[in-house]
Amino acid sequence: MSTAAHLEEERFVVFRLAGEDFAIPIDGVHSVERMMPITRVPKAPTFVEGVINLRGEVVPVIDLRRRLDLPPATEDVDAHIVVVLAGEQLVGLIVDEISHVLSLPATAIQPADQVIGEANRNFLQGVGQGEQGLIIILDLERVVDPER
Amino acid sequence: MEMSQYLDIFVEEAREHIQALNDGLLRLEQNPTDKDVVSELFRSAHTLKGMAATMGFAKTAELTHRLESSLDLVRQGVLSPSSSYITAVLQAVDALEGLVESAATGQEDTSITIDHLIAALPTSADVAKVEEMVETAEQEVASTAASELEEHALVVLQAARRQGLQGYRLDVSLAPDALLKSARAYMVFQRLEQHGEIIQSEPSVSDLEAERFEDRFTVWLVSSAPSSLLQEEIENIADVRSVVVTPLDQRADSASSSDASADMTPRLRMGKSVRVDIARLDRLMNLVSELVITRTRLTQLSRDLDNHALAETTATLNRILLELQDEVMQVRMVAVEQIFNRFPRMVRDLSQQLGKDVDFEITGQETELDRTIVDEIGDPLVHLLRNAIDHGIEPAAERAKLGKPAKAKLRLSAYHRGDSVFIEVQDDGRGIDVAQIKQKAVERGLIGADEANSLDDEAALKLIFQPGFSTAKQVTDVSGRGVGLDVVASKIASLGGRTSVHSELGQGSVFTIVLPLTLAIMATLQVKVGPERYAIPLSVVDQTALLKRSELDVIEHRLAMSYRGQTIPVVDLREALAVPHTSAQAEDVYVVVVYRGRKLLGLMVDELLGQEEVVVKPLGRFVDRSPGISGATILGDGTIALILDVTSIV
Repeated sequence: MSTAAHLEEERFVVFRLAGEDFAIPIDGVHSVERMMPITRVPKAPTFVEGVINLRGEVVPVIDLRRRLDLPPATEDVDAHIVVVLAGEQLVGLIVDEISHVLSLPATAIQPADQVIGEANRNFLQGVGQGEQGLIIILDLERVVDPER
Repeated sequence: MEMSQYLDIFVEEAREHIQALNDGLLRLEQNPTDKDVVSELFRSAHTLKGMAATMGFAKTAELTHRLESSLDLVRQGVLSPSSSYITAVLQAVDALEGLVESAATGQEDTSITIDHLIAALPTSADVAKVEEMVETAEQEVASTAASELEEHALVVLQAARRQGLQGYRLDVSLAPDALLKSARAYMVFQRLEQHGEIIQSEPSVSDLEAERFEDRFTVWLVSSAPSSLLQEEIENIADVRSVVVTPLDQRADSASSSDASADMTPRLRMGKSVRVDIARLDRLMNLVSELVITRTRLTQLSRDLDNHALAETTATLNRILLELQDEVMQVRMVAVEQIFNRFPRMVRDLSQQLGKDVDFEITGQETELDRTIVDEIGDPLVHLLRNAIDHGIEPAAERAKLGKPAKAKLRLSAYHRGDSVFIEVQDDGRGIDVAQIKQKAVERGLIGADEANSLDDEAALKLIFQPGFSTAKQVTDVSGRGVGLDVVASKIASLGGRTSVHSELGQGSVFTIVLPLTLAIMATLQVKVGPERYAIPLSVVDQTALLKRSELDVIEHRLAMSYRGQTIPVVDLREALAVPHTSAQAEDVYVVVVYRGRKLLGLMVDELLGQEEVVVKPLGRFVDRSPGISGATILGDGTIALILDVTSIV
C-alpha cells in the first residue's frame, strides 16, 4: 500500500441500529428515503420486508435488524430506508435512524475480529473510531448478496 | 485500409449468405439435380469469398474459396452431391459461421482449424477457370435481360413514375488513383438516397462494397430532384472524376411489362429502413411504460376532479398514447423466422445421427413476436424438436412394422390468436404412454400410487413437465441428460407463456407453447386477497364466478368446485400467498378460473377490482424467486400490485 492510500479518507453514511452505530461506504449509497409503504412479497426470505415504489422503480427492501440477527425494535424509531447499489440493481435497507456522514482515514479502520456486539459477524467488515465511540462498518456486498 | 466502418455490413451480409448456404444445401440434398440451387450456392460462396478477402479475413476467404471450387465441380456436373458430400460442406459452413462470428468482434479467430474441412472437400485446382466461369455466368444474365433494368427494378420505376418521380441513370467514374473506391461508392449511394431511391446498380451493391470494380459504376435512381442537382451532389464527392446523369425515357420500361409480384431483393430496400440498437428500443419502451403509468394517474385525477375539459384532454392523451404504444410495440416485433431458420439444419443432422428419416415442415415463420421473447424461445424449441426426434419418432424398422410411412412427419408451426402467439411442435411418432408416465412418476416419488390411479390422462401427461422427470428409456447423446421438459415449461412460464401437450398413443404428440405478443405491457385482472392487491394476467383467465363458500367441495382436504361439468381444484389465495389474516372470509367468494397448462384451476379471491393494463416491472434481488409471483407493477396511485404466476402457485 502506498503512503497516499494511508492518508486517503473514505466517507461513510452512519446510522443507528439496535443502539449501535453502523456505517456503509457512501459510494455504495444511492439515496436515503423516509419510511414509505412497503408491499409484502409472499414467501420471500424472512428478512425481506417487501418492495417499494422508488420513483417508478420496484425496489426490494430488507429489514437490516433481521438481516444482522439483531432483536426487533421495541422502542419508537425514526426509521429510514437507505437505498444501496447492488451491482446494477437497487436494494433498500431499513435502519432505525440516520446519524451523519463520517470521514475516516483508512488507517482508522480495524479488522472485524475485534468487533464486539450482537450483529452477525458474517456481514461485518471492520470497526472505525467515531467521535462518540466505535462504529461498525458493514460489508455491503455480503449484505445484499442473496446467496448469503 | 481502415475497414471497421464496413464490419457491420460485412457481418450482416455474411450471416445472410451462410443462412442461404445452409438452406440451399438442405434443398440440394432433397433434390440433387437442381441446377438452380447449385448456382445459388456457388454465388453465395463466391460473394462471401470476395467480401472476406476485401475485409482481410484470410481464413474465411480461404475456406470460402475452397467451398466455391468444390461447388463448381457440382455445377459442372463432375461431382454429384451425395449425402456425405453435403455433410462435409455443411461442416465447412459451420466453421465459416464460427469465423464470421469471431470476425464480428473485429478479429478473425485464427484458432479455428479449417485444414481438415478443406481436405474433406473435393476440389478442382483450377481456380482461374472458376473465376472465368463466374464472369461468363454474370454476362449471360446481363445479356438475357430484355432491357438494361432488371424486372423488379422496372416495377419500382413504373410505380415511381405514377407518383410523378423521374428515373435516372448515373454513370459515375472515379479517379483511377482513388484509394477508397468502395467507400466512395458508398458515399455516392448515401448522397443519392437523400434524394430518392436506388433501384439498381451495376456492378451489384455487394460487388461495389467488396471493391470488385475498376473505376466506374452505374446507378439507377428514381427521384423528384432535377438532374442538375444530382450531378452537383455527386461531383462534390472526393475522387469522383465525372458523372453523367441521363433521365430515363419511357422506352426504358416499355420493353417488358413485368408482373407486380416480382420480389424485391434486399438491397432494393436499403433506402427504406434504419438499423436501430435494441438497447435504444428498450429505452423507448421504458419511456412509453412510464407514460402509461402517468396516464393512469392522470385519468384517476381527472375523475376525482370531475373537470370536463380535463377529462376530454385526458381522453385525447389516452388515444394518442395507445397509438404510440402500438407503434413502439410494432417496431420491436420480429418474425420467428429468425429462430426457425436454423432448425432444418439441426433436424437433418439429428435425424441422420439417430438413423431416422424425417420430413420436417415449417409453417408460419412470418409470425411476429416481441424481440425479447424471440431471443428466449430458441432453446425451448430446440429441446422440443430434439425430444420429438429422439423419443417421439420411432426407428424406421419399427414404423414399417406398424404400417406407418417410413418417413416420419415433424411439423413446427406458429400462428396468431388474439393477444397470443401459438407455437406447435407436432410429430406422428409413437405418442406418450400414459401408463408408463404414471409408473415413472410413482417410481420417482412425484406422486403416490393411489394418486396415480385416480389421475386422468390429461393430468398424467402434465407430469412430464415436472422437475426430475424424463421418459427416455435409454440415455442418448441427444436428450436424457437430466434436463427435462420442466426446463422448457419454466422458461416459457417466465416469459408469461404456457406449455401443454396433447398425445395419442401410436399416433403422435403435439406440444403447444402459447406466448404473449409482448412482455412489457400486460392486460391483467386486478383482485383483492385480504387487504392485498394482486394482478392476474388476463391471458390465463378463463372466467370468473361468484360462489357461496358452501358451494365449494372438499376432496381429500383440498378445495374443489364443479365447473363446466368437471371437477377442478380450487386454491385459496389467502393461504397460498400466506396473506396475514385480518378479517374472516365472507360467505360470498369470487373464484377466478385460470389455465395452468391445459388444466383449469380456480383461484379464490375476496374481490374483483376489474381489468387494467399494466407495465410489468422486474421484482429485483431477494424477491425474484418467490413462488407464485412473476413480477410487479405500479398502479396509478403509486402503490404496487404483484403479478401472479399461476404456473407456480401451490
